[in-house]
Amino acid sequence: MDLDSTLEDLAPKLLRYCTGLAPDSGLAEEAAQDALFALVGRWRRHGPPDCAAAFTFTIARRKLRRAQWRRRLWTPLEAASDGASPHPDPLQSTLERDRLARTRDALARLSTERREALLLVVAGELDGRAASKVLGISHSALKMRVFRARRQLQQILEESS
Amino acid sequence: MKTPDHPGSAPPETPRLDDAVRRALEPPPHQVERVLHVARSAPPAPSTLRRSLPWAAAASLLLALVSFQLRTPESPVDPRSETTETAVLSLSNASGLVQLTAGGGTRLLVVPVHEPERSPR
Repeated sequence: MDLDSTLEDLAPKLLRYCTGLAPDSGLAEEAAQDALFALVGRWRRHGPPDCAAAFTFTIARRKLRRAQWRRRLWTPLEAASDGASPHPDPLQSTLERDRLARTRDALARLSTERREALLLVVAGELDGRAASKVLGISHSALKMRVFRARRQLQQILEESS
Repeated sequence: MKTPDHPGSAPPETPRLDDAVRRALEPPPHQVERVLHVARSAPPAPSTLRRSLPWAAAASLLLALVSFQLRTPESPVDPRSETTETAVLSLSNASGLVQLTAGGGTRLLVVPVHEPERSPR
């Protein structure tokens, strides 16, 4: 896979992951940009890394963590969206926005560990090996975190509906 | 506890849940475009010459240091032995002090000298 198609493949996944972790969309975009920028630099200087996805998500995760440490404040995930919806119809758009907001709320109630694991696998679409590499944990620990995160998310969504 | 390894082996509600998460976090297309545009604007890889310049500079600096060191006439010696070789003892009775000076005239030590009291004859 060449650099351009790798970027096109990674960009939306990375943005989803960053949006799920960052307290606002600006920070999410900045982290995704920096991570992709670093990937391009690395690719052009030394060739592609072993796993481009793991490389990029690791950088994005580090940047987000640093930014969150600086802010020390966690604003609700509602602010993470631009409010843009893929549905042009106002009624459908409102219903959809409500559903999306509930999902984001539920995600925000997960612990950071579980949310990170779930977002890497689900939003970032990383395979188990790459995701466990990004988090620095074993594959079995990752599976456990994702399993628990899914179960908890399901419970929260059922309670809120 | 047995955990699902793949979405295929997961409970039936998992794909719906995963899809809901993805949709909730789906970035708008213009945001994706913006991020891609910035990433593609990363500077190209430096040329071979530019990449080798810092190494060349470091190598010449090292070479210069080594040659300077080789040209220096004095090789490092034990300071104590140097002191014993070049020190000159000079006496200045007028002030009642003994000065120990090195070869270049640097004063190393000043020792007050007390004249022994003469016993009355």
